[in-house]
Amino acid sequence: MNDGPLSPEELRALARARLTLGRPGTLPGGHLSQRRGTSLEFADHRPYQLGDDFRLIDWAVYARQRRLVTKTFSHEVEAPLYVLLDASRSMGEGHKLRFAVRLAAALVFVAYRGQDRFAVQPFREGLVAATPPRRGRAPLARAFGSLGELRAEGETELSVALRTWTEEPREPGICVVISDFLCSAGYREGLLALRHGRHAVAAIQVLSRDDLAPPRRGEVRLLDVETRRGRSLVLGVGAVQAYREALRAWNARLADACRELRAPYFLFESGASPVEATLDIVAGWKR
Amino acid sequence: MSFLFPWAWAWLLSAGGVVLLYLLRRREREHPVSALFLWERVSPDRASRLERIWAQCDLLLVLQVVAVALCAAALASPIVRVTRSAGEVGIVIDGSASMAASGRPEEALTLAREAIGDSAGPWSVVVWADPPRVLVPPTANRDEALALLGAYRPTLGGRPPLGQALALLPGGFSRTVVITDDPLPDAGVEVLTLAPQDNLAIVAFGGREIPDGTGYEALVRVRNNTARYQDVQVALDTGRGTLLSSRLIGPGEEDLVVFQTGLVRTALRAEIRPMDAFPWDNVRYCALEGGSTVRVGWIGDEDRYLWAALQAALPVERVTAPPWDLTVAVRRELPALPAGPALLVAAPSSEAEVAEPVPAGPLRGEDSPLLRHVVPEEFRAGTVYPVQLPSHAVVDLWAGEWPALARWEGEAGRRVLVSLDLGRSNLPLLVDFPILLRNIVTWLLPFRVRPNLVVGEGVALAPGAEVAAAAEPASGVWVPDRPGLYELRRNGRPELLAVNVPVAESLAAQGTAPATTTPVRAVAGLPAWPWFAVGAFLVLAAEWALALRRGG
Repeated sequence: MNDGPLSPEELRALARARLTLGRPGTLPGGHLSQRRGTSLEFADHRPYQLGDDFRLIDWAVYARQRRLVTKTFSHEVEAPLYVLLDASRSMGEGHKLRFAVRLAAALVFVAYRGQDRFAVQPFREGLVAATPPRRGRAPLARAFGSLGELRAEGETELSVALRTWTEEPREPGICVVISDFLCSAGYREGLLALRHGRHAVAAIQVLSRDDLAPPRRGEVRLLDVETRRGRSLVLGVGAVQAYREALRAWNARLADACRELRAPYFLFESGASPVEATLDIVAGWKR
Repeated sequence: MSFLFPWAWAWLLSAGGVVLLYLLRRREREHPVSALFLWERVSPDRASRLERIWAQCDLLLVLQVVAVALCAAALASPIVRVTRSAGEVGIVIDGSASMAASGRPEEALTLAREAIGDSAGPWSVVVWADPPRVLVPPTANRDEALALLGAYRPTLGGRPPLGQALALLPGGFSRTVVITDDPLPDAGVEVLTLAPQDNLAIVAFGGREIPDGTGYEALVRVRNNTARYQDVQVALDTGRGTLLSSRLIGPGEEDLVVFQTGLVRTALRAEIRPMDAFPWDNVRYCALEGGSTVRVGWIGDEDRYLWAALQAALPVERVTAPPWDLTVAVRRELPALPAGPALLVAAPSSEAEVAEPVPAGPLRGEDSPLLRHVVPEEFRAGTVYPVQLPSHAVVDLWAGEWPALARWEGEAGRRVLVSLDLGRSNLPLLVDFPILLRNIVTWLLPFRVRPNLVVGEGVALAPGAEVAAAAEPASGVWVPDRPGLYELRRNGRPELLAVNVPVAESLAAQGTAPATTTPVRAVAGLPAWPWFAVGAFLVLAAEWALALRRGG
């Protein structure tokens, strides 16, 4: 595993991280969801409602406060992790794909450590590969291997790819979509299709330094790496400022859409540490 | 700056060709972006004229033009004129003892290296010592001169007149530099003076007989060549013990420390503390003439009490053949008294007549150095020899009306006459007897300070004499190279010689302001084309790297 996308030190740093889900699964797992259920771990009290199991009434509270409350318990569930990874040509700019691959590997490793099932689903115009979620060491090695072989090619059709993926019957789980989300055709329909599939969705946007703050290069011809379309421009202070405004507005719309879909949204620069990004995702999701 | 080939600047015209090629193949630079649709809403930038010019200015083109300009400059063979000292430099480094102080040689070598590095050459270096010597023969090779300079070692001797050192420099040198810590008032050449150093020194040391003949004095003069008061500890080693004293000496002042001793051995050694950077003058030596074992020529009757008392008083040995240091005559008439000091015990001579013994009266002593530390009232004597003394004789002890102990000094030497009949007195049984004899011998043998030598002072040794030097015995002409006490063996009898560093070396350049003389300056031309060529190469390398980074 030393030749994988993550170093042993990074793997050790991720060893204690756990993803907490909001969606039920069919198998008991090693992590707690925020959904109340039955287990041995007390979660909270709630007012007694008609039909509640008398055995769950907390008589000690009744003795002190003269009101009926019912004990609730955490429900341990297991949900598979689907990492939907954008591998289009635009992700090759500014080492975005390299970061995305390392981030996907880190998330897969967290799921592996939590004894959860996982699957990496690269996509471009459509799905590159769709494998069922598996748990264990061998699927982890295969996932790391496939991530290492991933190349940035083709164009992005995010909504098409995600809709295509949801058309297949899949077990509800955690869907982490890693992309730069810079597709003119939009992304909302794809994310909505995931939600309709009863998945917990997280949108992780990866942008390069040049994406966030393009350098002033004077008179240049901007070339879209995916569509190969170009535009001549004097890349000065004003143009860079206008672009940054446009990007900020684009990202704000993405964040609004995620909020509307109750999907956590994260933005990382491609030069960031994938371990720290993973820990941020784990912590942000728990909140 | 000037140029050997100014026409080579025509190569600058090739820069026009570079610009022309650039304009002919100029195209928009492509800048890949992840999402062009975000740029489509960006209106064309209204850049300022300066920004547009700068935007059109390619760094590669600038680097190419700069490289062409540097190449043209290198081909023009620029000459940079730098001011340097005159070409030929003769350097005289002081090699006297004061330069042997701690850190001094390094300072002198630093100045010498600077003088060599600051001039075009050739160079020659002479050590100003006694005798002066050539350290670096005339050479135009700077590395060779610097390498030979490392062999500089100051001596512990003095230095001759500066002219002797200058005479070793080759003629025609335009600049002469003297590096010294003790500059001459008007050297007539450029002088680089080293900063004065703190120094505590013994500037005078000697021994003498106390005028009343009761012993000896050692005089130590100490100088404080520092900027503060010094508590100076002075130690005098007499060979039989060490006498200590201390003085608080002010800055730039001297003080005299006097030690009084009894009979001393052949040499004295004075030392002061604390030690300083120049320790060679913190210790000085003084050799005395006539010290060591006293050779006695015995004439007349045997007197084992007298001989035993002499042996108890001082180291003596009896010799049968002259020369000897002391003549002891016991009840033997001497028609001709030998030259040199003599102790006469009831012995008549041409200088003093001795008659038949008569009953002795009560003994009475005078205030005399010969009776120092003895109690003459305890002396008892049965008979005394009436004597006829010279008119200038001094009687120290009376036996009734007759002299019992007298002394005088004539042309042949000092004399002491004991006219008591020792066999009929209690003197051989008294503790005072050896003391009395010691006082007598001390007066008879006044040790004189042997002329002391300084380091570098040659001595012609007598045939058969040799000096036990550190390396091997020296004979013929001996030139001491270090201070100390040396044993001179002559006729099988060892004597000591004291060698010190010259006192003048202890007084070097105290408070003297460094003499400054404006050196002769000259203008030298240095070819600068290698620098321009290297610059052009570096610029081209940067241009190549930048082009690679941009993907061709």
